[in-house]
Amino acid sequence: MYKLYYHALQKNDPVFFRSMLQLVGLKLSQNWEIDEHAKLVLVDVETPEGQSFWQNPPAEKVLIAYARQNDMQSSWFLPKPIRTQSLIQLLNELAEHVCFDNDAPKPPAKIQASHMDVVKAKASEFFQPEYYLVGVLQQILQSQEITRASCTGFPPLYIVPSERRCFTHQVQFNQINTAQKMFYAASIDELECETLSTEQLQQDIKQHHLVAYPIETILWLSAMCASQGRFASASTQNKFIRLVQWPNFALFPYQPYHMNLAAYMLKNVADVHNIAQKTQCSLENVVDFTNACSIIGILKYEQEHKVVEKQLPEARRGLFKTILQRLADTVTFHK
Amino acid sequence: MRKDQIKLVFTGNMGAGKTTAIASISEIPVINTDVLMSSGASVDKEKTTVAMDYGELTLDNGEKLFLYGTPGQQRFDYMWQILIQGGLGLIILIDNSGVDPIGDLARYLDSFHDFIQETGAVIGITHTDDAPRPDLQMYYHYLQERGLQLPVFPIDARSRESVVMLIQALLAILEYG
Repeated sequence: MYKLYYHALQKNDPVFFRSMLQLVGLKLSQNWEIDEHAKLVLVDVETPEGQSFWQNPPAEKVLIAYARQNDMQSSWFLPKPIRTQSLIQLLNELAEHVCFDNDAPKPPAKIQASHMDVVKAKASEFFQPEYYLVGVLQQILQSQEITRASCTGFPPLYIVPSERRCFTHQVQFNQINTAQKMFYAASIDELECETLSTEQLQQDIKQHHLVAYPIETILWLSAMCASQGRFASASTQNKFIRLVQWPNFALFPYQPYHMNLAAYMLKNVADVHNIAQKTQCSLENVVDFTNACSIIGILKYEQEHKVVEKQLPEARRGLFKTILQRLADTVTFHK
Repeated sequence: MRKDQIKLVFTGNMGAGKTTAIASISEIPVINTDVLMSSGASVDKEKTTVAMDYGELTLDNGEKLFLYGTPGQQRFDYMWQILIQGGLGLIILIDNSGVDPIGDLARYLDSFHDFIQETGAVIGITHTDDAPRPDLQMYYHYLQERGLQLPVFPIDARSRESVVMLIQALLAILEYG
């Protein structure tokens, strides 16, 4: 029996979800039941409670985003409102790819893609995270297996999903060089992933003096590096977006203009072109920033444009610029 | 203290790291009025600031950016309203290892309510290594309940980069938020 539960569903959704599960039962490859201790959790990410749960999930849980659109770019997603076909498809894929029984042999993480698909994704004008390191990390998080991701010429990255941490050689994230960026932008065909036991992991940590970093740091950086100014889809560029909270710049490598983008996008709902114009950032930089925010789950799409015009005297802008220049004198940010 | 000074104000509970934060970016040794702790204070600290901390930074155009830290103990809070006059914005530091960090934040948001509405504020959470909870999401929940969208960052008050990050966020709010 396969089990799943839900979190932060609103109003009648829990009842509706249970009913739908019964309704589609015969069309599923496995038997499913609702169980509050289930590893799989359907999360309504359009609620503050759901967003919070999504960003800080309990260890060992595999989350399914439940929303009108897959703004979280989650590997597992159920669109609102629940429809039979999408529910059947989701549950059958979950049964195939997620390991439910800790005693059972664990399948390798689902990280394969055909060479042609990867070539197409790299040449595409749209950013498809699932074909890059960032997508691999998301899949590994879902698989819950300790994994070593290697790319020729670079130190490997050890991912420990239950701790939401990665281990690698020490990195100065605000000063990463071009070669390091290549690793974080690596496509799926350039990466070799291998599942490890806890003992193997501990041995490698000790032997290579590896340092732990939050998984969010790597997700953010790899999204930033792989995005390359590409929209997630054709329709994204005209959508109205905002941030639901500040990116944690204590964890995420940033440049000063990211602060401006965050401040603007917290206060206003606008499309990327408008955001670029108002913050005087290049469109590519805005798109990279929004892609990274989407990956970590703090970007929200809205129906209506809502901008508060702010008039700041030029003298004050000049003063802020002078202060920032002075502060930057001894703090270097990566370019 | 002139009202037309260009200044940033650091506030926060005792032991949150206001003096240390100012020292990490000031180009002069921080001038403060630390004295031996009065009884009843629960923080593991022998001295505390009763009047204010003062540091400064000379800007490239020759002007000075003044850095003020408010007194830590609540009985000196009459000083707070004097110190913030003409300030660009507020940096609130909260010691996460305190008894009630969210309650501490509430107190500063209440005390500086009008100033924050007029200008802006950022929140730096210190000592998160010793006390990981409340976590960042709990702070954001609390701010959301109050209808505020202020940035919250875990910081190390000894780190210049941490303090610069807070000021960058504050200036971004003032210009774009």
